[in-house]
Amino acid sequence: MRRRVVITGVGVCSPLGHTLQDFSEALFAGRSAIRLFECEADNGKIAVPAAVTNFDPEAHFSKLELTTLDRFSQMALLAGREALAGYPVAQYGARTGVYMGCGMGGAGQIETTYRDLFLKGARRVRPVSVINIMANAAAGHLAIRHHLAGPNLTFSNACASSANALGEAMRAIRHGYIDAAVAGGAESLLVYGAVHAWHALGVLAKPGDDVSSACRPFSADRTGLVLGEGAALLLLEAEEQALARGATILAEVVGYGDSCDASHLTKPAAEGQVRAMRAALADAGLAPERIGYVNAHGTATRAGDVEEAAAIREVFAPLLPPVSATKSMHGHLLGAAGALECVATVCALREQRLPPTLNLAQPDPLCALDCVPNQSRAASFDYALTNSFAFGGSNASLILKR
Amino acid sequence: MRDNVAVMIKIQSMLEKQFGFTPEQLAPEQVLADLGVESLSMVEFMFDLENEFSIDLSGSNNLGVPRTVAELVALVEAALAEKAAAKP
Repeated sequence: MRRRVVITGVGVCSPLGHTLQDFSEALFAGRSAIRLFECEADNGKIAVPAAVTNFDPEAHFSKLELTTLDRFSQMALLAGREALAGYPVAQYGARTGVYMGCGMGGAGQIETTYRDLFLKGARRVRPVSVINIMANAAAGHLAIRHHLAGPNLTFSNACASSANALGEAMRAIRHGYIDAAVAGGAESLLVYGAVHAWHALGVLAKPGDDVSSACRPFSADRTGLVLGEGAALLLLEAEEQALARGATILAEVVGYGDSCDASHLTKPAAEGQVRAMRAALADAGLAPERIGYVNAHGTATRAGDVEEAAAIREVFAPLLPPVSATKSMHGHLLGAAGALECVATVCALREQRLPPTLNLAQPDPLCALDCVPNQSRAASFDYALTNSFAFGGSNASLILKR
Repeated sequence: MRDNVAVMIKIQSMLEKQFGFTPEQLAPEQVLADLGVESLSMVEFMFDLENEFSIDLSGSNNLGVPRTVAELVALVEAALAEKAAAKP
């Protein structure tokens, strides 16, 4: 069995907006959500550039509900509500799955729990600690709230998590194991301990003179990646179900490829990325020249940018498609990055417009690509590919059709 | 009886603060599950009660899991009595 899989709903809770429309407008306007983010603990503080998703939890959830919802789950529920709006769960919920990506889980609760225990001398910790921390909490909440009784899976492959979730959901629908899935990711780890941990890794961008331009993918003056937080979810359905219920089809997921560098935990390798992109092209049955746009992983680390540019050239030369790195606007959502960038790719296909790579002041000669510098532009194309590459060596590429 | 009223008032105010209920929602006979307090949030609230009253709700009572506000009060009362009796 091989069915076509279409996208019929999208929800975002992102630094660039809380609805698809707001996100899309900001994306094409080239707005940066990156600001200086400061967080404090009893014994210190740290400030880094970051893309925060501003929302008021108490405007959306009761205090009772918030007892068992860490921030990443809150964001997942907000994105899920938008993605599933109008979906007749009473009819289809039994064969609809939840496929989530999340890198860390409930970072806020981890911090609260350990702070109580280690710093404040508590003899015991809050009973909700485990259920708020577990990385699959968001997926469980989505299933309960929307009565989605199909498989409920959470992928934790660092920055490829939600691209893997989308790809695996697509395969499960394509091959008939389920008829639909809400798929994507959620991540929120902008808390003192986790920010320190990322800082210690030495990969974070410096604030510079203008912090909003701290994330500079493919630019020679890049200084590192910028953390973000948020959630993005897409409703994937077998085309026959979508047509039967008269749903609006936003795009089709036609290809998925995944691979592992199998060489180094953090140093990416073009060779592994090439295998993921080629696997996605083969899965979609497409020649490389059919791809009209690549949404890059593009984190703005030197190693990452240079390897990805080399991999894209290897796959697509001599007809190099335009490539943009939207992390320059919304930061790196880690376990939710692949899903948010998949949404950006849906927007690009639907608007026939390429989102820009911001802050491309000095194009790195080692990343010689058309990176859609600084301003969005119109384009005519039917297929787009989006990359997500992860610590651990996991690579995932998705191909969408208009 | 005065203690019982004080405990009731304290628990009602904790439920308001923790879960955002209004005083009108917290009549003694109110079934907590009907307000959406399911097992996980109940365990979380009992943790707060233990801290607030310096009591142990884990085992020695045989009142079962409280269903209503009044049953919560009774549970805390029993634990307080047990604590008082245990004092030398």
